[in-house]
Amino acid sequence: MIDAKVHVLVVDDEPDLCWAITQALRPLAYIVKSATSAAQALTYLSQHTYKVAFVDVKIQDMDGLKLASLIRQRSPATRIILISGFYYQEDSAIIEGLKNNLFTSFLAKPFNLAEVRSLAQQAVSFGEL
Amino acid sequence: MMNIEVSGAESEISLSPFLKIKNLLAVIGQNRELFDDHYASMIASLDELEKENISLRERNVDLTALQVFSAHDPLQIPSLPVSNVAPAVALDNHAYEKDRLNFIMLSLRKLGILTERSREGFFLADVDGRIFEWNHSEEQITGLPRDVVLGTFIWDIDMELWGGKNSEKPEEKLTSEQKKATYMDLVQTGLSPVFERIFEIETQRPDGTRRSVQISFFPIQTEKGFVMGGITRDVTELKRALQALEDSTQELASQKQFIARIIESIPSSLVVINRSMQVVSVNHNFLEKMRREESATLGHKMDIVFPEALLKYMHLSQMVQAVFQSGRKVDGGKVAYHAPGFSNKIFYFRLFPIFRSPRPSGGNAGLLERVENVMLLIDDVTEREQLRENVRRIERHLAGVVESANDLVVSLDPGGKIVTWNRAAEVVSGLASDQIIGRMLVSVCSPDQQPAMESMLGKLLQSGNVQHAEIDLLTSDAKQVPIAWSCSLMRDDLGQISAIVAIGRDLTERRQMEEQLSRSADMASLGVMAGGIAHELRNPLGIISASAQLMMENPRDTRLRRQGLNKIYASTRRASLIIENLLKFSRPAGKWMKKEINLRLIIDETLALLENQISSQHVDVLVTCPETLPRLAGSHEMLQQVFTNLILNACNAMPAGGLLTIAVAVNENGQVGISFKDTGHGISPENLEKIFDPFFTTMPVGKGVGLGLSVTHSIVQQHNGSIEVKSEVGKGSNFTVLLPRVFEVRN
Repeated sequence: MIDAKVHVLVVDDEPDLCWAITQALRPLAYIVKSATSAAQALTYLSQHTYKVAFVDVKIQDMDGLKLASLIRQRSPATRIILISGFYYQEDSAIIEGLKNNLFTSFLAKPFNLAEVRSLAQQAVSFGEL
Repeated sequence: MMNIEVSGAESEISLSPFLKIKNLLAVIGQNRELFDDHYASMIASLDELEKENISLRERNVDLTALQVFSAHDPLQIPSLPVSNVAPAVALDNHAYEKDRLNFIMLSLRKLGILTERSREGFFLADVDGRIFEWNHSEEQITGLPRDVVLGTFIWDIDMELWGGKNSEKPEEKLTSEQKKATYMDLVQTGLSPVFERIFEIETQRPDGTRRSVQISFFPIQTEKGFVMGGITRDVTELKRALQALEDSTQELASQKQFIARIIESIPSSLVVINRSMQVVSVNHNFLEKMRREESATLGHKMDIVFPEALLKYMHLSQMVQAVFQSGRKVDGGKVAYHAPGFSNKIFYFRLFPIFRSPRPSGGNAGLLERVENVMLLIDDVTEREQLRENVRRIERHLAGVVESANDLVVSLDPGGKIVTWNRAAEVVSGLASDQIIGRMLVSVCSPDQQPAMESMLGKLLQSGNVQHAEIDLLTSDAKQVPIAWSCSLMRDDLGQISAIVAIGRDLTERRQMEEQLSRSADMASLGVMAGGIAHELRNPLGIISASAQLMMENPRDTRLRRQGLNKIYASTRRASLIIENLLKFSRPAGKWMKKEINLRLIIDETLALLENQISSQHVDVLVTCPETLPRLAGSHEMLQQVFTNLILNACNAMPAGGLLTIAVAVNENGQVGISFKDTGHGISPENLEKIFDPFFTTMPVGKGVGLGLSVTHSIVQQHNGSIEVKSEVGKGSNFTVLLPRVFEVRN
């Protein structure tokens, strides 16, 4: 059962990438909110509970990993999908983060839209199983 | 009293002439040594008398008959030979008596002549103390005429006999009565401490001259007791001579002592050997060194005195012989000797000839001289030798240090000529020290750097301060080896420059290491860059990819297509720009030539190119630049890129406009500084550390990729320059490019 009110947060300082992810998630009918800075993202998080958050590793005002840990702290229910052009799948930092449950999954740029949707769906359904 | 007048009338002397002779005999017998020069003649005279006496006896005349005449004579002498002839016989014989008297007269005359001619003074006093004989010499010596003296009492004559100078109490003079008592006592006993001596007194003659007089005063025994005889001798001249002799003896002795002291004080061993090869003189030092007693040394053959080891090793005897023959001194040389009970000693031997007479200053007289002795001077040079050995050891050690040093150690004379060239210098240059010594150090420097070496040495000599420079050395196989030189001055004790010391370090290895280090730094920065590139490129790639996928998913959505195509195009352009900057960063140097540049021109051209951007951002520009600048070398285009980056950064820091001040100045190190000062937002301290990192940027996405300052830094480094940054948040930043001035190139 899909809750029509699934909220998804996209954090990337590249507005075009926020646009791309938003477009990709459109078929899933989530409510997608984009933030181009960590500060903006934290503001949104304080206002609403997001089921899923796409977080870019390189944001101009904060390191993405730092932001991820802040999100986990403030909103433990939010599933974090890390996006990065900087890291790759087997990067030690990524393996470590996954192991520590800092984030749920990792998405390397450039990404497949189907994968974006699939990761989002997995994250959304996680709590419901 | 009896007035004995030898030369007087016969009647007056008739009573005592024979006794007088006898007295004289006694006097002579007792004071023989005082009469030495006259004794022989007197004995001869007396022999004559004796002969006459014998002839008298032969004529049966006995001298004892004379006793008749001397019945009242106070000076009868009992020891006279007494004949058996009765006096009566003699008295009867007038003829004989006449002969006898004649004889006595004759004898007395002879005696008178003798006493009168005697140089010794002579006097006699009878038992009552009256003087009855006082000869001419006595007159002369004492200055008292006979007329005055004869018949006076002896104690009335002040001759200092009585408490004479030899007395224990010279100041205490006896009174006349005391003198008389003493005399009478003497006459009774014949014993007197006073009269049995020889006195030496000072007399003053009537003419005032003072004489030294020796008086021998002695008792003469008679039947009635003792009479006094005296012999006086003027010893003034003798005393003077004696005094002179004593003085010179003393002087000689003191000189001898002085010389002996000198010899004893010499801290060397001294031995004098005579022609018989015997030791005739040694000093204490020698005896101590050789552990010998003086008694076992002086007068002994040198072969016994010197240790066998020395004799054998040094051929000492032969050396001494040689000096005797040649008359020339010999430096014997050194010899080590281990004396029993002493540590090992090193002695230095020298042999000197000693001539019998003072050595003539020159000429043929030298033929006559003869070496009387040979003096051996032996110095203990153990300490000196040890010191020398220490010095040698230190020298060897230092030489070893220099030789085994890894650095080039070269010394030059103040003119720049090579004096020493160590092993490291030989190895690095391929030039052996014997090839290079005497040549100028400049001559083995790389030709284009010879002026630099000359100027460094010049500065060193002028300032005295240590100078450093990197100057290539020309090797024997025409290669150039980079050397870091440190040159300093060496001064002698007087502070004069004695040499230049140049220490050189072969930089070949360091240069290789630097290169390696820079390569590994490149690798590290490649890592940083890879991250940067990845992020910067994958973002546009991600956008392109996503856009394409969306367009494929929604082929009919024209709005999406338009959006997507725009994004694809923009992202592609962005990716290309990144690649281009990357190329510029990775291949900034290429093969470019440093040329003389005009800094002012570059600034002006750069400002002209950026005029639109500057004015659109409302930035005012102020340029200050001195009329004349040191000559600079570099790349016009590359510096233009540097200035472009810095100007654009400044403009971006002042989005609301501001003032950009570009100032050119020469600092105290001779570097030319070009500063770009803005009034913008400034850089936070944590960002200040990162600004030169590739891909660091604070610019919004798409506006800058963060390579500008990296490229700038790289270019400035290639100009051997540096960039300094000062910044304060909210007030602005100041970037200063420092470029080194070019070495003045000589024509």
